Amino acid sequence: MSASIINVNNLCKTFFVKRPAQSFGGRLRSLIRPTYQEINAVNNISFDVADNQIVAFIGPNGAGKSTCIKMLTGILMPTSGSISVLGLSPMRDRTCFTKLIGTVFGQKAQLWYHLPPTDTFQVLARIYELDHAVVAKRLSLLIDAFEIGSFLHIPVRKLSLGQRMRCEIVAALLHQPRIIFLDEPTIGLDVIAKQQVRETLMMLHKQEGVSIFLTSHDTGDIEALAARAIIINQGSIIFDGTTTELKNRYVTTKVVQLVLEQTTDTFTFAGGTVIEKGRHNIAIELDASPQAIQRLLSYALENFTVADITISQTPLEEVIAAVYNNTFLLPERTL
Amino acid sequence: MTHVSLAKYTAIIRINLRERATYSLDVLSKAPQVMFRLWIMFSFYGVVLQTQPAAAATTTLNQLLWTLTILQAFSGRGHPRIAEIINDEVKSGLIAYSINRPYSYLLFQYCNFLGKSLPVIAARLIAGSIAALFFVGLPSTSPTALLAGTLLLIGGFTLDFFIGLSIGILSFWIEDSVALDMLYSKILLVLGGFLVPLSLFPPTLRSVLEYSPFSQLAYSAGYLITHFQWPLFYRYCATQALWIAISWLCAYWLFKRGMRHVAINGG
Repeated sequence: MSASIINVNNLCKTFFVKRPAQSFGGRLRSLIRPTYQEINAVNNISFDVADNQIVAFIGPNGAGKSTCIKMLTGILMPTSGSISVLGLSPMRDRTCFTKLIGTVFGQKAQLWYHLPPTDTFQVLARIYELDHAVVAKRLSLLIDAFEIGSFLHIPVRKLSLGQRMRCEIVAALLHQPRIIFLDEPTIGLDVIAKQQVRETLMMLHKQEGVSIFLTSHDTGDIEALAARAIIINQGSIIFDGTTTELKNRYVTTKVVQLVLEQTTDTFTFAGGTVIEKGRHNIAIELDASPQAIQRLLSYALENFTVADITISQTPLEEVIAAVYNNTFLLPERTL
Repeated sequence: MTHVSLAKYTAIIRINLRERATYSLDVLSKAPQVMFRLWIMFSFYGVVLQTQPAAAATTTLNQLLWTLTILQAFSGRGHPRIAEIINDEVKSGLIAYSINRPYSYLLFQYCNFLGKSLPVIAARLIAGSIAALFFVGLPSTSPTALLAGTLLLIGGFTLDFFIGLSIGILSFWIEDSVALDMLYSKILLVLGGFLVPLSLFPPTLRSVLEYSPFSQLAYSAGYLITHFQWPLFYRYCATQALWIAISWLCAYWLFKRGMRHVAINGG
């Protein structure tokens, strides 16, 4: 196990939001003595992230994931608890810290809107005090990896969302950070753009060993990139483990679809539930254990001529949705 | 400050200048309004000086109009407001990027402001000078007065930045500081000599206002260029330096405190 590069201990963040009064008199009173509502966006969470890991930090809207990522990057001050990223305090050691991390906030833009992306890259190179030769080499690598060469000299305002997002990620990676924080990096992108972003991030992770801490609503990002998932809901961590563990823990059934040459009239299998039955095709939901599937397949192959078999399990998206909705019985948190 | 760290700030100025250059037509189209304002002032103060001997004893129309030309270059539509820039960053959440880079945030914003302002000030100064030349001829000044005035203008720009920055940083708490900035700009208009030159104010009020930060933004420079005296230059320099130090301390303190209150809107 590599050393931890992120240590979060008992982290809390509370916001005080002004509560608007309903009556006219109440509104007047609130000018002098406003009333505030306390919102616990992040509620006593702790976790560690090892070096060279990709961690997906997921949760429904308002769960506290963006607040958490902003505390990890030193933008928001925690109400209590401690954060150490690469051995530094994000708030206290800001200047050193910002040189070691890269950030992409999918809903915000860091590129100068009216200028071509290349101008932003040059300014960022100066800001991060990078050597000309190093920048040229790095940019060449990133331009090829993200395929942004063809629109490098077009003003950002004229780029598509996918093109802009790829440039945003290049801007975050220019100074070769040790860890990148991605807050919904594929939001609004089409399938191809998403795939390209994921593949390139994975390539950089493998080649350069850059750690990635990512929040996303897209389970495709999580499945394609993250080996570990932390699920947060209402400010608290409700799952922390590998994505395989997440699936194994919550996916208790599989669906086997069979296409038979004979009719399905005589198909009787006690080890599962028939959820769909046609003249030649049948879908059976059964326990996800290999033994249950073996039993079904043995029965089918011994008694019928099987033309086609499809075995499917609950998609990760549905698993996560069910976890959010508490449809699954939540187990003890895995640390 | 090392050569490398200076390079990042000059790069920030350059990119802002380049961004302004993409909308050069917008900058240039707003500059001629200075000519219109100066024409109104020329007509108005021409009558004032003719009918008020007391006012005419303190200044000439040439001096008055050239002072106002300097002042007009530093105010009005199209001129960026630093408080507004920060306010927008807080509202849009862009502050998540701007505070999180390896530079001094205050210096970054200074360079940002400088880069955005320089083309506007230059365009307005040129337009204003053409109008003033047409109305009252060359200014009664000297190279020393111009140099001293330029120094005070740089100081005034810095002072305006720190006051505006302090107002802008208040949006870390109140989320919208535009109303406060408007109030500040209206106070400037009246007490900073932008509308009525301080030389036309009653002597007691004038001497009080000359020590205020508002007169040190552009009026002191404009007045010195047309009424140069070394003692006046020293006095203005000392007053301006004092207000720059106070406003810098205020902005720095607010920024340090405000960082604990930053709340980024949206996801």
